[in-house]
Amino acid sequence: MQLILSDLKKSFDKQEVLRGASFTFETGHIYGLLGRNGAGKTTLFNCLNEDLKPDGGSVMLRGGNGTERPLAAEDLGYVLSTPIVPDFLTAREFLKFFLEINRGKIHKPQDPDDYLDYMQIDPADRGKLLKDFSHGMKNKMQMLIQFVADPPVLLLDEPLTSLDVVVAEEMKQLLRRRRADHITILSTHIMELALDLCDEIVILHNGVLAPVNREQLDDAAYKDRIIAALKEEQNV
Amino acid sequence: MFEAFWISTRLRISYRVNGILYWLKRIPLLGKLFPAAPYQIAGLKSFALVLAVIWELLTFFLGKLLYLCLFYLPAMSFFQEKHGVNLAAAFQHLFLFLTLAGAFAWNRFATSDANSHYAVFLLGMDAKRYALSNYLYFLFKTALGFAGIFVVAFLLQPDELRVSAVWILTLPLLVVASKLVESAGELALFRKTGRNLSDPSLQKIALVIPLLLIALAYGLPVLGWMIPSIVLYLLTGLLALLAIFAVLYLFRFREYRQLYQSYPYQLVTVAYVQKTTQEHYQKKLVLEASSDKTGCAYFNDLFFQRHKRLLLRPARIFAGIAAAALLALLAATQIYPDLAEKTSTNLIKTLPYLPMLMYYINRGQSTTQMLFFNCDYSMLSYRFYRQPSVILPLFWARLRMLVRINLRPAIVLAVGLPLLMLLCGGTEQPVDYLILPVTVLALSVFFSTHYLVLYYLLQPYTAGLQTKNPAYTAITSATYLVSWQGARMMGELMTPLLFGLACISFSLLYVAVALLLARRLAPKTFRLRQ
Repeated sequence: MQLILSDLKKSFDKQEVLRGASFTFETGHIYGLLGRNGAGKTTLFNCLNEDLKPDGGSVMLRGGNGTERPLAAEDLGYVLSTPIVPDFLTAREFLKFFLEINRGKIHKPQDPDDYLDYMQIDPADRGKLLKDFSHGMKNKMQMLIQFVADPPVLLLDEPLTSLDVVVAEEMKQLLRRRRADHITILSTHIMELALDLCDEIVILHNGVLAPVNREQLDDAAYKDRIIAALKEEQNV
Repeated sequence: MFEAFWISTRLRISYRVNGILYWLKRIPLLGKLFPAAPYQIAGLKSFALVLAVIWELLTFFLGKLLYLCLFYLPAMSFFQEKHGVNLAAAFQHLFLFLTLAGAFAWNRFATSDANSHYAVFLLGMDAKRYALSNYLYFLFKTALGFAGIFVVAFLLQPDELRVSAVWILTLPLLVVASKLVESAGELALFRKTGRNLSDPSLQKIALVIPLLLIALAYGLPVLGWMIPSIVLYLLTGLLALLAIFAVLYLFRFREYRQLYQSYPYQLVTVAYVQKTTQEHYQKKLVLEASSDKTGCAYFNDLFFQRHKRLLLRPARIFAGIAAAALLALLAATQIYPDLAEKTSTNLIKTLPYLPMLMYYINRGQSTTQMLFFNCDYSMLSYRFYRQPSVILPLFWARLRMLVRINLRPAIVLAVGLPLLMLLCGGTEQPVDYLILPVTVLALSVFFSTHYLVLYYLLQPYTAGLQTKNPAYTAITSATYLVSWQGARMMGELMTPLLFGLACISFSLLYVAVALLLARRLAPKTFRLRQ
């Protein structure tokens, strides 16, 4: 499966953030989306998630048989950098609601507690209101909802930055396990995370997407190449 | 010192210039004419700077003029009319007490606001120089403002009020001296106890003293007492003398930075207020509730159960007040037969006021706000939540919930009003017994639907918890106008029966159209605003 972004454009008043971004993302890869502050990473994610309407371009999904169709709601999961969960529900209730309204769409649905086990959420916490969850726990819940929905494309905005080292490592393992049949794109500012977890680095610079080829470079040289690419002057 | 003042003034003016540009951009329609980033356009900035400077100059006089018009003129003419006192004497009396009260309540010395926070803590300015230069400027503005107004009043010499030339010097001196003495007192208190007047343990005193002075200002003339001029002048002299020591103390005091730190700082913005509202809702959340429903009904049921107190309490209070008012009226009509007769014949004529009453008791706007802050704010970030298969069933569940909440006070009125009519001797037209309750119920359903549909079609709140949709603001204001003026004007044009029928038909038609619109458009419009 491929996620094909073609000539995606988005401006805010006169400021062009996406200037015809194009890229083809492939199943089985974790992509690290890097860009400088204000480069438009979140705008790109918001356009893919239909939070923002792009001014132009298309987002298509190409299946294994070569047929293309527009990216639909159920094809995409989006994990925000600041986890937002409904404060008035417990973890178990949130999951129950999610499972019920997605009945028929979820492959082999399980009991909410089985999913919570999978995410290693303590049984004692499952009946607590989500408002009392820590930042990391909320993040886990947000991630879990996406794992349960299991969309072929998963967007993660600065996913692991606010987690403690143990939870961050657990999350990395989970993402690696899911890599085979998903397209995972994570935006981050942390180079080490990108190099550690991602198979490919894509930079968003001057409103367009471009891969940074690793070739035979070691980590340090690759890092230099990425930084050099991000430092390139704007083509006005 | 002057340099510190100049820097802080420039900081304050640029803060105000950016504020003006921000508001210019927000003016409906006109705002669109301004560029996206008006802060960079030199011409616009100069225009805003001129406005900011004019505003600064106006603050010399405008506030004081308003203060004199509001706090003096009505009271003075009242004292003259009822107690036959001399206007000039009444003015001097009020001025003395209100100035002393103002020394506590309106004394901008080293209090923490956005400007001082930026200057002292972010820009690292010298706290003492910042505090003193700005305070002296504040006092200068105050003295000049009052003196200017008294000069003009002296030259004009309005009828009845004999403006004394002595006021031009004495009264501004009284204001400045009392403020200086109070500030020195506050500093001494801080040095000794480490507390300032915003400290919870001192807040009561800080409130009671000015209130007591205000009570003396307005209360004594009612009792026939007024402070003679000589006391005013002697006290001014004494305070002026003390003020000299106060100024010395202010200049010797060193712990200005600590003083600023002792004030709780919070930049009060709209977003902050909304955030506090959200936290307030969250605090009232209770876990003990469950639901045996499924899907969207389950979700909404839990929302309702967990926020039951917040959602139902106002409706219950309205229902209680309505019931008590109806019972009291009923009791009164049983004691006074005249009143009973008047009630039975006139009750139906109050129909044109019903839309306003129902507008006030409706919980639509506050409930949708709560839905956003405590539920949709988080859930709308999930794409699955924005699908028609979730939006529409949830809309219906919420509509039922909102109608049920609003029906509580409505039912009390729908049952109580015809019953009152019956017990007061009845009406000549039996159809009144029907038209009155049905109108109440129809209006209740109308307002419930109105606010929920507006919320779904115009979703006015942003991810930053602000209200940011001019159309929503315009329509909610128009709702108020129509419920009040529109209904009254309609009521004058038609009989109560016809008015009732018009209300019912309008409500039914509106609800039908609104629901149809919600069904077609809500999946597209119910989004988190960026």
